[in-house]
Amino acid sequence: MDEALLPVLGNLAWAPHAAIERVEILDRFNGVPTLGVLKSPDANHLFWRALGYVPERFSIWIYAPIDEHEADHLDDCDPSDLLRGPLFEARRERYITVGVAENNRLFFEREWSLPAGCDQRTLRKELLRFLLEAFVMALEQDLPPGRREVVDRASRVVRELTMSGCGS
Amino acid sequence: MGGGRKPPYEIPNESTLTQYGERPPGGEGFRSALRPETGETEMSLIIGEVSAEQASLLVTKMVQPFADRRLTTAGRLRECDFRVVHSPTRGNPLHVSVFPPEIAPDEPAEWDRAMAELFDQCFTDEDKAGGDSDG
Repeated sequence: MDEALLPVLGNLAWAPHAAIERVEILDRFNGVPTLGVLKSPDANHLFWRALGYVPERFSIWIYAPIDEHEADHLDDCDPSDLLRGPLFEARRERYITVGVAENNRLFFEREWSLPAGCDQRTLRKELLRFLLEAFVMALEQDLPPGRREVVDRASRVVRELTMSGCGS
Repeated sequence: MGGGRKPPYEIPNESTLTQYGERPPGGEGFRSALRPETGETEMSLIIGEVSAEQASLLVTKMVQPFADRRLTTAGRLRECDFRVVHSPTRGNPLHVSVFPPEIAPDEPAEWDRAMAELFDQCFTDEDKAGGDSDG
């Protein structure tokens, strides 16, 4: 129930895995699902497009395992509180997966330990810091040229966001 | 079912609508055309005049530092033959879908450059759309 999702690279961000039985869409932007629940026999995961709604073609997605209590919360809470608990001001640290997509197709994913108690601003700041480090580590490895090129472009976008105030 | 879900309603022509945008360094600002190759099928707007921060919360669930907004009315979009439909989601009860004009029944026109310019022209440069703020 508490395991991080392992997305398949190349898949659409809202359909990251073949084992998903059903996708419950909670929100969309320009017709693209941006928030929802991925339901599979063993576990349910919340997915959320955290950054990258309008500019560029990169977007950053989060996949977080949710328990039954959190699933009930998603069904019953005020719309403005959907992420409170599973992601914002979480009561406990949890392993989530961060995915990065170009044109909504995932090309990078890493597991991340989301600290407990993060508010929106802290989560964004920590997320960008984590991604920058993950990109640097990836670029130090022997990547195929095509993958290196897209990871390098994405790292520059994330660095620019961090430098220009998005990561503070 | 919870969270104050309300059924869709017919949006009056005089209703102000807000489009969410983002202006990071080198960013595009606002979308004026669909990207079908990425799965986009409609243009999302918000019922009423809301601030950039409110629009950011409704769309992204987070206050985004580069959030922006621009305004139009349902009537202005309809005058250009765009179809404007209230399509509430669980996360955004004020969600509005804008579809391209139909060139035949169930056959939407392509959202090409000319349509993008037409869509852009529906929005005001001013900070007021001239309609009701009924969000």
